[in-house]
This record gives sequence, C-alpha cells and structure tokens, in this order.
Amino acid sequence: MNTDDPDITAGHLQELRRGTVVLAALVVLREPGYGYALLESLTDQGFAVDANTLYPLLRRLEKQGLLTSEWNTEEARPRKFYRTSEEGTRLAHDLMTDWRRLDQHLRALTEETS
Amino acid sequence: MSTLTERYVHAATRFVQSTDEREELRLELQERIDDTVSALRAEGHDAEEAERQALTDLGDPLLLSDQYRQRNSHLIGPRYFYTYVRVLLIAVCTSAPIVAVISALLEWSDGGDAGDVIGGGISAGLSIALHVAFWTTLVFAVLERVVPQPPGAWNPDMLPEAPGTGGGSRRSDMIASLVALAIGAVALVWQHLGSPVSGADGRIPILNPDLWVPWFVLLLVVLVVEAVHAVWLFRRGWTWAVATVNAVIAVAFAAIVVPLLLTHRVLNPELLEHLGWTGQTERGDVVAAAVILLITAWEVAAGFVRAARRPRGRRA
Repeated sequence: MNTDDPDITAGHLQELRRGTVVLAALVVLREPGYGYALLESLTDQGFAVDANTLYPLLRRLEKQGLLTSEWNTEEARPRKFYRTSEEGTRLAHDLMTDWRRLDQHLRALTEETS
Repeated sequence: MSTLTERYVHAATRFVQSTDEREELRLELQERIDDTVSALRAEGHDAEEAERQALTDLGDPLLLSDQYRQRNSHLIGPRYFYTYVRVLLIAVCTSAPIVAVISALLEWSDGGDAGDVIGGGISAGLSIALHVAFWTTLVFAVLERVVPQPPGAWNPDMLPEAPGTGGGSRRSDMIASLVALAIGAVALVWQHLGSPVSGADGRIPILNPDLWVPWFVLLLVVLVVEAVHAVWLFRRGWTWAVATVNAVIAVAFAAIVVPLLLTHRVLNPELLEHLGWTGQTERGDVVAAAVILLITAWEVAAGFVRAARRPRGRRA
C-alpha cells in the first residue's frame, strides 16, 4: 500500500484542518484585522492556510453574517477590516466545544485500540 | 501602458454586473495584491518580480473571481446533468435519422441521382442533429440558471421500477396506448362525419370515402386488436409471443396504409379539388409512407429487443 504517498497524506490533512481555519479566523478576528495580517498571524500560530483559501473564506463568512467588515481608508492604501460578529462568536464557541468533544472521543478511541 | 496588476484586476472584475459589487471586488483584489507584493519585496524580490509572483499565485483571474463570488463556472451542473444527457441522446437519435430519410426521399422524388439522395440525407441529418443539440443545451443551460433549487429533496419514492417487475410503468404504458388508440379511432370516424371542411353539398370528408370498405374498416379492426394487445402486454410483459403479435399488428397497419399512400388514394379527391391542391400532395404521400415504414420497423424491432432483454424465468 502507498500510505507514504505525500499527496494522499496532504489531501487528508487538508480535509482535517479545513474547519479549523474557520474557527481560528473567528477567534483571531475578535480584534479587527485585514486579510494579509490574518494570513500572517494564522501562519505564525501554526495554521497552515493558503491565501487562495483564506480570502474567499472571509468573504463567505461575511456573507453568512459571521463577520462584519469596514473599509479603513485612513492609511495610504484602503484595507478591508473584518471583525467577528456576535453570531460569529457564538459559532466559534459551538465549534470549539465540538472540537474538544471530538478530541476526547478520539483519545478514548486510541486508548481502546492500543 | 497599464500595469500587470491593473490588467489583472480588470480581468477579474470585468464580468461582474453590479457596479457596487465590481468596485468592492476591485478594491479587495487591489488590497490583496498590494499586501502580497509588499511582503514579497520585504523578502528581497525586486518590484517587477514581486508583482509577477503575486499575480501568478492568484492564478487565472476568472477562476479567482468565481471563487470570490461563489459562482459556479459550469454550463450544466450535476442537478440536470443526467437528464440533459438522456434528453440530448434521445432527441438527436430520433430526429436526425427521420429528417435524413425524409430529405433523402425528397431529393429522390425531385429526381436527384444517388449522390444527391445520400448526400442530401446525410447533410440534413447532421444539420438537424446540430440544431437539436444546440437548442437542447441552451434550454438546459437556462434552466440551470433560472430554476431555483427545489425545496423537496430526493426521496426513495422517485426510484424507477426495476426492469422485469412490471407494475406501475407498464400500467401507465397500457393506459397511454389505449388512449392513443381511442383517439385514432375517433379521429378516423370524425374526419368522415364531422370534417371541418364544407362544400356546396355539405361536409367534405378528409380521407377518401371510397376506401371505407374494406380498408378503413380493416384499420378499425387493427386498432381494436392493438387495444387487446395492449392489455395482454400489460398482463404478460414483453414475451416473445407478445412481441410477435406486436410485429404482426405493426406490419398489418403498414400493409394497409402504405399501398394506399403510394397510389395517392388516401386523401379525398373532392377535398383536394375543393382546396385547389389536386396533384400537389403526391410528394407528401411518399413522405408519409416513408415515415410509417420507419415507425413500423422501429416498433417491430423495439418489441423483439424488449422481449430479448426481459429477464428469463420471471413472471410479472
């Protein structure tokens, strides 16, 4: 079996992490931030996220009412600042609860089988 | 000359209809590109290289635009894909051969040589196939964009009948056949008694009244036999016996109608005279005869094919 195939591993890792990017963004954006700054801070925190995923994701979350946005034109270049809405905060809380629950179950599962 | 960034942003936003949305998208892309370029320059790339790199990472502007706007860039999506393919196949495969045969016959009745007949048939068939394919695709592409997602999701009741188990689909086949036969019989009588064309001596029947005995009477008999056959088919499914009788009925119908058409006796001569069409319907007779022969061949073949496909050892 080719379980060492880097593409297969990368694909599964990406799927596993997909939802965590949403959660991390909702948490980080409790303080207003713009796209590139968020990209950098997520990368620094160990959330490997692609710009081509993150920027459209921000738009989608805004459309769903989980983020609010405002154009900041005070600096030389206008930037769109996103901020987590109340709904977004509630969702982040639910997601976090679920994440912990999953982690617990996975632990229990691995202890059982090992 | 405009910069690469300007060109990129233009390319990504030019198909956005709403002005507000276009401007918003433009600003967002501009911000993203500027930030990325600044970061790359901080890493030591020169200005031109950084811009080129940033845009390369963004990828195809139209795809990016679709991603940002959550648009699908497909013509016909999964919702209609299989329906589309099925309709397309059926529409092209039925219309093209029929039109090809008809136009070949027209060439032939115009006195064309073999090349005209074959070439005319093939080119008419191809052009109708192209038309049908185009319009079918257009209709589905429009449906894809206009029809909202149905609120009711798929449920198991929508499953088709498994082959050979009869039941629902065969019952509706029988009902459809009986209705069609009844309409045929009524039309045959109506054209004689209730013809919409009237002359000095009252109504003029559409079909030649001299043919009632024995031909139209025989046709009515064939229709009745077909109705009995439809019920039999419903009860037994496509057995070889049912398919054989189906073939006999189809051939009998053609055997009555085609010779009458080819001798130009079907339409009432009095009607043609009344309408001033005398001598002008002969080509139509030939075409009608050809279509009937084609349908007959299809009927016969379809019956036997269904009988052959019927699972052995099962009684519905």
